[in-house]
Amino acid sequence: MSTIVGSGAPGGLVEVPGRGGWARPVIYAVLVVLALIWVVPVVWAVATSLKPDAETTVAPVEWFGSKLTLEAYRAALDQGNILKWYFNSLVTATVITAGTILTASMAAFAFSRMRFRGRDALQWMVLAGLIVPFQALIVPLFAEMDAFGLADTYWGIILPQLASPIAVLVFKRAFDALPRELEDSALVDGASMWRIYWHIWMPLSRATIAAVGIFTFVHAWNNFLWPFVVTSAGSLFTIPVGLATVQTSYGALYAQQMAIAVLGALPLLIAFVLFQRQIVQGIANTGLKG
Amino acid sequence: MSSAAGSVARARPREQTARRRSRDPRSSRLAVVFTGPFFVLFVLFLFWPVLSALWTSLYDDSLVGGSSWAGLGNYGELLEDPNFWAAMWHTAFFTLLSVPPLVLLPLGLALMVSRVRRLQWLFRLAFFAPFVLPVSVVVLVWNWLYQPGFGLINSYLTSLGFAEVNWLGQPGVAMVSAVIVTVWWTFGFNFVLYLAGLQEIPRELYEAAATDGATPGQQMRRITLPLLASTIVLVTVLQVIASLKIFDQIYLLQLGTPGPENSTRPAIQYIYEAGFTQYRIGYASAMSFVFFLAVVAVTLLSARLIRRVGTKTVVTE
Amino acid sequence: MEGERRGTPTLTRRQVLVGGAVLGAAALGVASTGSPFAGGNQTVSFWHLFGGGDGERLTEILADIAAENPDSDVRELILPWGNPYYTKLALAGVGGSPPDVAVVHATRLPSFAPAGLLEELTPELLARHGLEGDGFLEQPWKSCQSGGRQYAIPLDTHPFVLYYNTELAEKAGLLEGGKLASLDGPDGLLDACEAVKEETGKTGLVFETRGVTPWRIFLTLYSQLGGPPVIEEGGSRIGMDDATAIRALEWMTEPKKRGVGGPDVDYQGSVAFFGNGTAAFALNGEWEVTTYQAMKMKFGMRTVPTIFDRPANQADAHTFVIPRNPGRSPERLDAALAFIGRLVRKVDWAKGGHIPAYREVFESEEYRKLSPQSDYAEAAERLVFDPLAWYSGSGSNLEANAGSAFKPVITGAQRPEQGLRTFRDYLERMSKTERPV
Repeated sequence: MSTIVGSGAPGGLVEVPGRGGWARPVIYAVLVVLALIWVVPVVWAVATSLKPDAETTVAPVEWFGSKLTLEAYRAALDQGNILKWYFNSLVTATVITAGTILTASMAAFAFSRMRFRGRDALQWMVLAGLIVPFQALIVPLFAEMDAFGLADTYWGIILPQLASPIAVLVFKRAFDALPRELEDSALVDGASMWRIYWHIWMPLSRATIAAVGIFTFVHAWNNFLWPFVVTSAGSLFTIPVGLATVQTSYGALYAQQMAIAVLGALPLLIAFVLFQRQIVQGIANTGLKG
Repeated sequence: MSSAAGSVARARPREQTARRRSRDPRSSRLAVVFTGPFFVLFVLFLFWPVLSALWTSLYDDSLVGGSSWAGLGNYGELLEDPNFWAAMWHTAFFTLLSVPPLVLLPLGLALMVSRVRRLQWLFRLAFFAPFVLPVSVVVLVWNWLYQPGFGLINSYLTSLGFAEVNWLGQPGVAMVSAVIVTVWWTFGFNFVLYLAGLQEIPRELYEAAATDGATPGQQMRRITLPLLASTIVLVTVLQVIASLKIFDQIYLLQLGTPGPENSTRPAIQYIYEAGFTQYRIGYASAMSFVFFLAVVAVTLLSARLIRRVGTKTVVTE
Repeated sequence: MEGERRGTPTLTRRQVLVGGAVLGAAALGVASTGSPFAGGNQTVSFWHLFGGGDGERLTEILADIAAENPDSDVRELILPWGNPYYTKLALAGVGGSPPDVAVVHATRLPSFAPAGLLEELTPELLARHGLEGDGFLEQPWKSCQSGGRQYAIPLDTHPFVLYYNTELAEKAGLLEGGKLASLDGPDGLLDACEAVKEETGKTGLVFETRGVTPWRIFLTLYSQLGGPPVIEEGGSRIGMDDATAIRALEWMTEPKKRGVGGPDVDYQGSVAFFGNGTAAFALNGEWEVTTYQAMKMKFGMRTVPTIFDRPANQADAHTFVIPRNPGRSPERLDAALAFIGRLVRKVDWAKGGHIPAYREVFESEEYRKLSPQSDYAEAAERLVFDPLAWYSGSGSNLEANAGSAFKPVITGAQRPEQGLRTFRDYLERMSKTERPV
């Protein structure tokens, strides 16, 4: 497995000594400028959120107001909703991640390590599932959840997001790469398949679990369409859905809007900064294997 | 753990174990236990809805009760519904606009980033961070950026002497604005994929070429790009699939409306409106099914086409 | 190697995981929206769509009511404004677990009443709680009827009004005694805008171009011209008179033509443009009054000028309905009505800009003292509600599609005839579609 983490081997081009020395600073300059441009929206949002609300709409724009203040954040938190939204996102994303890892790895283990009738057909089904666009199914899925009485419930949000064909394929590839001998010696010692799966295969696949887990968590946390469709009770909103209601409800209180946006972005941003390495790694592996 | 002697010694018991395993009825049962949970979820929430959409599309069902047989009436209606075809076109148009920048820009930047030794972590952070933001945050921020008068972009444009741009309100421009937001937001994902692909290319190739006197430009053309071909193919296919599913950003940027002069509403939004604001589930299901078929077709086609092009490129090198 | 760890007792890990999963599942099962009959006979489950300033005010009012009535138990649920709210309410009704009281825009009643989703409010029921028709303003009360029967009780009406920046208006010589002079007639408002532009250089008139406001302005002008109802028979027939509609649209192109119009802007932007003093006049619903007060602006409000033949302003009303639920006990029904009665008598609600529908409050001194809130009270006598159909009403598709069709006319990108054509095409399609409710 390759590592694309920072300062190690960049896998870049090697220059012939003595030639092309001018290119490097130009590239740096271009990259720095682009990185700054990329970062401006977020910085501007934060700057706006630290202004008094009345001063946000002056033109031409000013980066700082008359004072740096947290009143927008205080007002945003006073609304009381964002904490609930955090909670809902956390609960649903965690359950979805755990559930996806469990079901996908179990299925992948069976595909990789067992021979049984119908195995090929089922694998084709999984591949077919990859192509199905979830967005095209929101209407029948909603009708289904409604029929089960699960519309407007946590399970209504969670269940349709649990079946992840891509996770199965990623796990299968990882499992296929593990040597058979481990399993065979365990079998000879009388271990059950479950024990092999749980005590051997999974611990060995930590990196894959991390990759799938991170990708699934981010995707579940940031999912807008499905929670939007299936919930209406404000008490069940996840962060993306809750934030979407902010756009139309505040009367031109841009500082508050930006404060809520920053608050909404914070959890995953912090997680990203802390786990940058793993997240980026995970996506690279998942993507390449896919 | 497995020395050569050990494996020979274990060979016969292993064969016996293997044979026993495949004929063992317990293994089928076990397979059910292991694959069961996934496939139950799969059938219930991926497979069944497709059939259900097909079934419901034959009726004139209402979200709040009430049902009547429609046969192929819904399909007939959608064939003549200019809004549906406009919506399908908007999805296609968005895909056409968004795929090139999202395939090529990250490639260029990844190539550049891989050439610098320092500050890689900074660039990765800057370009990838937006990807972990929920779409609502992205739209809140960009809506604020796009405002006339006191919006950051227009404010700078006017102070530089240019005219303001009506980013979200002018037909044509509105779709481009959505593409800009999408590029800013999801750029990092493809960027990371490219970086990983670049990482896989062994240094020795470059070093060998360098000692043969190849310039960095030649190295890029003859080594990097061909070996990156499969990653580029992957990124393109993934991006096409992702772009076809567009809904969130456009819906939120245009505040749930069809957009200026009806110019931005994508297929999924139209389906959503039919089902959830007009309560016409039958009609929405018919459109969902047609859209589903279209996406599957485009996905398979593009995957095959691009793979063929990709292999050709590698072969000729 | 990892494989050699199989002897270690890691069952505890599995147990914890399984146990946690079971607990989690149980917790999730419980943490849904809750049973409709939680609580006792005095419990009232109450759904509404008020966020922002209105939401805060309502929460305070509910706290007041709770303090004054210790036995009552009101459980409030706030859902976001717009189509999703109505969809969910309808689904809850159909699914058998609706709230006891819900806020519904009067123009949305056609989606609920004919479908049998609402409790009929019989005269006897209303009399028992002192909520008869003559205690309310006439138009809002009538708007709560369907098929000759009463299905809702109005809380307020919220009309379209004209906001003006008093400083800018004064500089342009438009004030009389501190309040805006009458600006009736086709050119009244436009001339005033030009005066402001001349004296101060500021924009004349701003309003949201990108949402439903164009429709509301259109309906106001169309009704002032005496045009026939745009749609009839529950939405299956188009009654709109094109010539009248064109005249209304032509007026809407005037601000831009005379160089006094505001930018092409969304709702938030339009509020900001008036709030930061860039524009002297704004056309919007009255509900932004507290926003501008919070910005410490010097502004006033008055009814929309009578630009054409007769006074009219687009409006809607917030009403209370009791969704039908056969399992609801009579005591609970009474508790619901008592709750409604308490709410309509609160003058604090008017602080948000809405005109109280309950006569006692409408005529009270407390209300009349509120300025600028009571300055446009006469708007309540010239209300124009959206024409009734299953696809119309506040926040409906009709408003969105009309707004979308009229916006290019306002910005000058299309001629009025073209915008009207787009809108008429929409109406024709909708009128032919079978109603799903």
